[in-house]
Amino acid sequence: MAEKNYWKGIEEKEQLEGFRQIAVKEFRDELPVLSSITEPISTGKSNRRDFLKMLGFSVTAAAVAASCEMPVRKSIPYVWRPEDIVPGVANYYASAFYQGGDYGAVLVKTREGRPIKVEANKLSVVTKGGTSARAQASVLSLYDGARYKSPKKGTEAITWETADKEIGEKLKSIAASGGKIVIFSSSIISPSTKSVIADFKAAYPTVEHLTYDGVSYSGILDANEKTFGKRAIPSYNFAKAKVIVGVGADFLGTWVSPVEFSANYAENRRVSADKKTMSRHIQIESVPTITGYKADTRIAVKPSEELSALVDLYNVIVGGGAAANAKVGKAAEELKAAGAGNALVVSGSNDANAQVLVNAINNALGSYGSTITWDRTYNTKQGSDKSLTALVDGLNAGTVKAVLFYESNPAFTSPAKGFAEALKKAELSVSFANRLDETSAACQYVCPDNHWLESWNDAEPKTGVFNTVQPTISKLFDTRPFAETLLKWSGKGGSYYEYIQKYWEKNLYTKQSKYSGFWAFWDNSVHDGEVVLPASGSASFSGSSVADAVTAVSSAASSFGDTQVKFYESIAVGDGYWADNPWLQELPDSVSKVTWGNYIIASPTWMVKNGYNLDPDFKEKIYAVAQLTANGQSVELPVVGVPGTPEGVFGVAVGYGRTAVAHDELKVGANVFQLLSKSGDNFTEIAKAEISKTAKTEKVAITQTHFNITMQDLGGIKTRKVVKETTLKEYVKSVEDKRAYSAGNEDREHIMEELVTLYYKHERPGHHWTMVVDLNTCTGCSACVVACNAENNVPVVGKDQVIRAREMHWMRIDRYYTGEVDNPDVVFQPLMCQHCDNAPCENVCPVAATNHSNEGLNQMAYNRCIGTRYCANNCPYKVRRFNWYDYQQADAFDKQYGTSNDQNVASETLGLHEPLTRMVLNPDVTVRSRGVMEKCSFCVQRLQGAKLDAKKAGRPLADGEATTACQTACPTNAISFGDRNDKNSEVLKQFNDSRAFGVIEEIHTMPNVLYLTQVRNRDEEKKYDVIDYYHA
Amino acid sequence: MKHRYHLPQPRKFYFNTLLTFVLSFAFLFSYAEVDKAAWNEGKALFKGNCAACHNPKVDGTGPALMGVTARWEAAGDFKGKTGKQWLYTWIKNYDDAVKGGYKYAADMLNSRPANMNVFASLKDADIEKILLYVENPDAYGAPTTTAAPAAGAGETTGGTKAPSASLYIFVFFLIVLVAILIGVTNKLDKIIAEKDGVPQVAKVPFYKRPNFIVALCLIAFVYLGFKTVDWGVSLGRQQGYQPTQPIKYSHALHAGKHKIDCQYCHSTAYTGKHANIPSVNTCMNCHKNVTKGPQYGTEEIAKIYEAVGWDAYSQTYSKPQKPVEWVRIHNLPDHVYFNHAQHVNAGKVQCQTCHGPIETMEEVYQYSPLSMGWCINCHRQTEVQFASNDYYSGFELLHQKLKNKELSKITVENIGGTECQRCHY
Repeated sequence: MAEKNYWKGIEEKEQLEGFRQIAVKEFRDELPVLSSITEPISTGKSNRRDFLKMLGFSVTAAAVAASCEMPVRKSIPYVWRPEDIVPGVANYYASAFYQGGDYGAVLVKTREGRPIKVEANKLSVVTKGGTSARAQASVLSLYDGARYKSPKKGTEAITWETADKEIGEKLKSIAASGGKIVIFSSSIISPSTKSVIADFKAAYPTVEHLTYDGVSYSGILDANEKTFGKRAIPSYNFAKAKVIVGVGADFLGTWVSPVEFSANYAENRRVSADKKTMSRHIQIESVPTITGYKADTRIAVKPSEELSALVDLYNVIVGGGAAANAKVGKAAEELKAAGAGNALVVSGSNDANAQVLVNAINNALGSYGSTITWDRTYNTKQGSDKSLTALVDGLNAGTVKAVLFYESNPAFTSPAKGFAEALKKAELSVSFANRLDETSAACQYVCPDNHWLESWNDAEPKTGVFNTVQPTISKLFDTRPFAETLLKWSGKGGSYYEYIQKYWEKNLYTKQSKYSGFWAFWDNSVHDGEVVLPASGSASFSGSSVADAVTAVSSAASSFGDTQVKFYESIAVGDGYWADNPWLQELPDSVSKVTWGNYIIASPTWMVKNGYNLDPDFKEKIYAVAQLTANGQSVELPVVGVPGTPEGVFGVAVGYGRTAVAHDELKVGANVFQLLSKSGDNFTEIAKAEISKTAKTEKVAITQTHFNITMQDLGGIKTRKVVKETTLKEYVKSVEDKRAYSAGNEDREHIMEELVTLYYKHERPGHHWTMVVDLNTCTGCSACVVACNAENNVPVVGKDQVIRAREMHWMRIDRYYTGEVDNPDVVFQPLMCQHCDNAPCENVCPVAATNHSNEGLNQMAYNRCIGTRYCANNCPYKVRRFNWYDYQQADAFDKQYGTSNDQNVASETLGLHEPLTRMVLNPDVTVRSRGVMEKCSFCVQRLQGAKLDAKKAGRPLADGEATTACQTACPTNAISFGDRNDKNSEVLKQFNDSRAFGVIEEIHTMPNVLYLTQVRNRDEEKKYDVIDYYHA
Repeated sequence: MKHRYHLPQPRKFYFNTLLTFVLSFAFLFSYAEVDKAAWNEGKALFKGNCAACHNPKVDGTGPALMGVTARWEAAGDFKGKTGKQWLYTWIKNYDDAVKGGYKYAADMLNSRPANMNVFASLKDADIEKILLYVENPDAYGAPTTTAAPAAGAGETTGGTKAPSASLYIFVFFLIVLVAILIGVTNKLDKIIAEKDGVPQVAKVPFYKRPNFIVALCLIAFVYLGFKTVDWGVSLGRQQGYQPTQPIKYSHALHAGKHKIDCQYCHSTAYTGKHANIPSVNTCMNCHKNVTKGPQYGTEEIAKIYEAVGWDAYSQTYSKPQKPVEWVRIHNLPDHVYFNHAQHVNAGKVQCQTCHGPIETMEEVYQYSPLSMGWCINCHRQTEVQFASNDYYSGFELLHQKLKNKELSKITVENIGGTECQRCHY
């Protein structure tokens, strides 16, 4: 019997020497303490004396420390306790997150008046109870030490009175002389803020509001204006589509509204015995994305071929002709065969002509009115690339005298040349940034806005869907909401809170009929966080511009040459807005598994041909650096091979290389916005490129080879069943045959038969916590990883420590490849502690610091742990993490270690141990100190909390009441969690599903986490390299 | 006023003497009229029903009550009822008096921000006694403050009682006696030996004998070892910890004497993780009126006013606020999760189980060791509310075991209460 070979990277597939050296060890470094003791032996010096010295010192130190008096702790109650605050009990406030282009309807968890966690708002019609990694991480930015603490003039702190007076006078004089005042912002989704800007315009008639988004959707907006007469993005319904073709659009990761689309997409990707159909997803893309990796069929093409694929699709679907690319032609036939209204084509191109083509294709497929609707359009993307050019030209020509930057950082995100010089010509430049960025550093004045968690605001992410944003903490610094500042300068003054209420009373209250008094309407809106007014929009297609667009796209597609680069938005840092967030910097990219910085994505095949070493020292992770030139600009970045990238194609993420950040550790990667070139009015993400290898090398903090559980020395994939997959056809057949173990999972029958044990069976008198993860709907978006960080006080360790495989994430998303290197199949697998009922870690702990609870939890008692690390060594899943340093400075011995050696600890250098930043810590979870082991606890604090709530109310625990952080963060509900002893629980149903299997359960660990097999909706045969089960 | 200084001394003297005389007599006579038993009953009724808002002499939430009968009588008769009768109506249910149309009642209602409570259960006889007390609050002296020096004050440990001194003296006496007797027998032995002519061997003193030295070392080693471990284990424990608090708040007075429910102040113990130290506004519920304490008079209560910014003169919270910095007595290590609601609400554990006889503590001290052994012990012995709390209805295995008599009761341990991650996470 032959098995598919799964591998995490090319180094594992080929079992390269560098990889093998580290893969066999649990801990790749020698113990530093051993080396210091063994060294003197080699030099012939006595180490007995050193030992005695150390012993003497430690005994004395311990004695001195122990004789210290107990500190006197104060307990200071409120003078007037706010009615709704019970110390030790969390409050949740509905709000809306909209930062750096990312939107989410959320609940903010606060403890004693400080926000510590963002949860999804399950009522939301937009984000549908999911969140993104960025929304989860945004709470850390609230406590960022780099936030502006008062208004500033240059580098000098000033008062608001001074700022108002000086700026007000300048504005007046500029307006009087007829000079233009530009408000330059990213897309504003707050209707009240827009109204405030209109008021500002009334006060200063020369005001012009320009909108520009760092990651631009200008192309699609322009195209919709041309073909529908509306400059907006319509709603997409991925759940309704039976055939989805994505052309370079990462709609599960970053494109337009990824959280919403993921939820939507997963709806029709979930299969079970009751639902035997799923959508067919074909992705045509160059640089791999999670969307492409999730697709049933991924057609790997060059970036320019993404454009020609659109022409092909157009020719087949609209023109009835033939396709140049046969694979694309087949996709087009499938789209046609799906029937009217059942297909959907999306493209991520920022070329307006390409998007006109997409509209024509969708129109021909009958998608409009079915899978695409104009009843609600997105307000989250309104930017125009023309705005940037207009600003730079205006400043240079001297017509624009004053410029005010709101939620916009063009000094970093501008692809247009000469922005910095142009900005210097402004008579007045003001930034409203709440923390340090490149633009605010270059402005004359900074009038810091509140953080979103500190302010009242509103939001209209899609037309007719309104959110309230409410403050969850009193403002930390001397900041003022942007809108209030504008109101002040308009001469109106007043509070923005009242302004919003007035706006809502006038514009929203009148359009609804549910509530008969405004205050009832307002209070309920704030409580729910969302108001949905009836949808009303419509638009009809006009094909007049299509013919020109076809010609333009065809000629554009042929102009990029052989070597091409595609600039993409990463899930973690977006357009760079999040590059100063340590949680997101340390989040491994779902595709490349790289943390801390950007890099050039290249084809491993190309790398071999061009002399790049695929087998660097994986202990040091030294990668060759190449110089990439596009649009007349060059950057030097390390080259990382990513399977699925075609030869001659390179990908670089924008958003890295920020320079105006508070800590050097955050200045990672290179800014590539300047490499973007123009196509028509818009900056296009594709460019003709040149690449040349340099002699330089750079360390890349890639986690791909860390915590490897398919080690070949242990039999590799032969004996270790980690992921399982099948095709829809086979799955349906096995379900119809009523097989207990469905297709792809047949071997479990044998495994379960062999479940014989010498141990007595554990009793589970109360609950039996169980988790089931559906591999079919997990998209690898990583929201769960950041949610876990926030919930469980998981420390940030920094680039240096990640290189040493010491990242502390309690859950990781393993990404398994199978098949050809140039176009592999991919399975994402979130892996956390499996809470084995027969846990190998428990047997080897000499102090019983890890043991089992009667609810099936594998418990970890930090205060009992002495740090032998035997458990980590014995864990077959490699999910245990050791605190090599006191990453969060939990110990009384402050700064017991220095950073004088090369072992930089980011928590210290990033200031994460500062009292301000520590406010983000969850008070219910112990902050671990140096020398102890930690791992996923199934969010035991949340389970205990849910149990207590039930006990207090004197009722049984309801299904779905106890949740884990990863589960609630997941946009696709891929994670189910609950009590297996509850006969009616959802998790039990899934646990008994024919698709359920445990990772390497054949070694009889009896994990309490099961996975559901991945099901692919495709018929075509693919080539796999296989390992012969019995003969290898 | 100035001319008063020029009054001839003798006149002043006479005047004062006369005044004192007259007043003393008046008091004597008036006191003589007060029935002591009724007065005591009235006082008790007043404390129970009225004292939260009223004081006989001082304005509080309600007006000062001394002279209230005279004031109502002065308001005149109405609808065939005397002013005093209207007062009785008012006390039982103020609204009846207002609706009855008695103008003084309506005026009273408007003169205060808060309405009076309804005391339908008070009988006329009760009201009579209350009024007797209110009109003569000092008839039998000011409220007694001699309520026995609070037990436990100054005592720093809640541990075992130390043996009495006489016991030590007795033991010492016995030891001396034994030493003398040994001396005597030795002397006698020596005399007998001399008499018998047995040659004398120079005796090695006992403390130089190797056996003794070895034994002493062994004892010293065991003792010191035990002490070291004992001391090591107790590091960070604070049983008996009794810091001085910024306000001399007495639990003996509030919880003991006045029997105020613990959760009146520590209200979140039932719902939340912490049994909160009450915010100062909770104190003000009573201390708006209770302006004087039995032990420290106004001194300690003034600290509450200072903290909450209460202006006693204008009866408003107009002054700056200053939080009270209490010293935390019960400290658990950071890696311990303890939830009061779990114990007080779900577990129905009494406060005293852990906090000791708090109602007798003048100054609070840490009664329990708060060691893990102490926690675990209790978890092993304490029964959970298995039958009465519906939460446990799904615990089928345990229900079965109870039925089969495999278990006689369900303790916290049976549901996993001694496992690490119930408290450490």
